[in-house]
Amino acid sequence: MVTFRISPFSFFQTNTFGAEKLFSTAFQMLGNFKGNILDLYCGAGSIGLSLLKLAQKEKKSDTQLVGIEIVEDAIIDARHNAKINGLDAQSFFVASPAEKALANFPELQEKINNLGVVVIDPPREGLHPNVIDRIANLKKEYPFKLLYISCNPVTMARDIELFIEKGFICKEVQPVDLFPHTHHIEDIAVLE
Amino acid sequence: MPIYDQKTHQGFFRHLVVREGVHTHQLMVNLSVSLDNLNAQTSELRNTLLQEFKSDPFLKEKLTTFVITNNAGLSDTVKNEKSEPSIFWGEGVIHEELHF
Repeated sequence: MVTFRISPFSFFQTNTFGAEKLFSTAFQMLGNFKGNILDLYCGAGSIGLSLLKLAQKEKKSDTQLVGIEIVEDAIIDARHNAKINGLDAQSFFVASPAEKALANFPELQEKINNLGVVVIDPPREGLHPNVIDRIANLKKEYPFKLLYISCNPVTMARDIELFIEKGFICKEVQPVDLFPHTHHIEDIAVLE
Repeated sequence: MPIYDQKTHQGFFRHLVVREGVHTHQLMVNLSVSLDNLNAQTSELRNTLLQEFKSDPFLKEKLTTFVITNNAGLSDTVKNEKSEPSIFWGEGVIHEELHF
């Protein structure tokens, strides 16, 4: 169980039971991993902190989480959420545009050494091409798994094609009905 | 109290955001209103309304936190550069859990 504080304007999945299904399906698809977690567009930390908690359960106590998010209020919530779940010593959150984070915070470089998983859950517009380039460059250094969660299959498909051009392999795609009785669908993909 | 009109930018009630922690049974209500263009009569009504909210036993029992956001922005969104939330009661936050 992971607990989250929700303030009036902070993002949280609107459907809690759906979010549990979404995250557990995503983590199952991701399977075993070794190393640290980089969570881009992390919001208040819901995916990254859940994955970190799971890693601790599996006795991977040296796993660290780096969360990057452009909205400063969300980062304040993320730090608080890390704390109330006893995960603050293993997690680092910075407020920055995803594509500029490493340049803005050089100290992150050390934290993402031994990178095992990159999580991306971008807004509906999908990924900035620079972000895809950065992730592809990281891939040259670390053999991580890429977990892509999206509420817009159209931009996700576009981005996956770009990742494949950069040498990634798309292992599995699974939609989850996070918004029942609407035409919206949440989508999970794992790339390696 | 008049409902906010997106075309004329007059009126009081703009949005009502209800968020529930389904595991924690905590409830947040965020009432988004416009305090611009209140005349003497609607100001009076507004004060009466807030007093009614405050003394309502049902609301007091059910709502973990009650936030009122003054939204002076023109766009039809709850959160914009001109919206200012203020806590009416509670801590201004709720908690939710994810169970795996």
